[in-house]
Amino acid sequence: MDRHLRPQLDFVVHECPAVRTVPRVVVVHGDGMPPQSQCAAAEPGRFVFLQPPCERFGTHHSKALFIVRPAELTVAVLSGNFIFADVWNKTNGIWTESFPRAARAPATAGSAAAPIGAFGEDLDGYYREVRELGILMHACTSR
Amino acid sequence: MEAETEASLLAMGFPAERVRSAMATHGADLVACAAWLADTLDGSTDEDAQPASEPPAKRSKMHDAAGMSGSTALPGPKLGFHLSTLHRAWIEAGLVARRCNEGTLSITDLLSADSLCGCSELHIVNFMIDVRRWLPITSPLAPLLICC
Repeated sequence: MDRHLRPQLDFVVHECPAVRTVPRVVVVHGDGMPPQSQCAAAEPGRFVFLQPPCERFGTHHSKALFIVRPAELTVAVLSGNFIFADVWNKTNGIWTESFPRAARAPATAGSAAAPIGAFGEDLDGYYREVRELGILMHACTSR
Repeated sequence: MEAETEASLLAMGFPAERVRSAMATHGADLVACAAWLADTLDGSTDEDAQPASEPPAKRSKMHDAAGMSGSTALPGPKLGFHLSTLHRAWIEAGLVARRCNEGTLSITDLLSADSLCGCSELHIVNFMIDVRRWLPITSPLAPLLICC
């Protein structure tokens, strides 16, 4: 049994070296400590680790990828963790979809933004939470 | 065949000591199981039956997306629902039919150079726990039982 049940970031980068070309890689983890990673230690400016508040031992066991481009967002929701055994030795499910950049909410009253649907609202909520988490972490670490 | 099965199990990441112990005790059964699974899953195609051109352990060190998945290289991730791609060592060992990896998707596809082209930010979300810290808290006696 792999007892080190934290995302294996070095494994992901090893399998997918193009990750190191992305200017900013946000790793959202849930175990109190960020995953130990040589590549993150070597490039601390590229990798950001965030831990959202959640119940003890994480009832939210989510696995996802968000690939952000200026005009598009690709979302992949996975059932497997980012560890060798789940990636290569088990049959897991992956759902992937790309979304165009959402228009900003109109400033003028009376005009409505294009509906983004329940999934879009969840995505928006995720981004707001991550942004607030990042701001909070930055405030804590820059004291 | 036993050596090939052992090499494949090692390539899958199982601890070497446990693999050798299992092969020593149940080697014939494991090989028979592999053959049975290959037949059951209809993996005995001519393509699957071709001998490997290089040792599995050496092949397992290759990490290019097309090489790992055995699927056609794509300009970006395939959209929709897909099963994940199994490590090709499973196929080479005859444990899984090659066709099981057809139309599948892996992180090497999702995070390939093509998929990440123009990407300004990547989020990797994975809430996990460390069982070493979880087990003693939830089941204080469990570590003792494991040690015994």
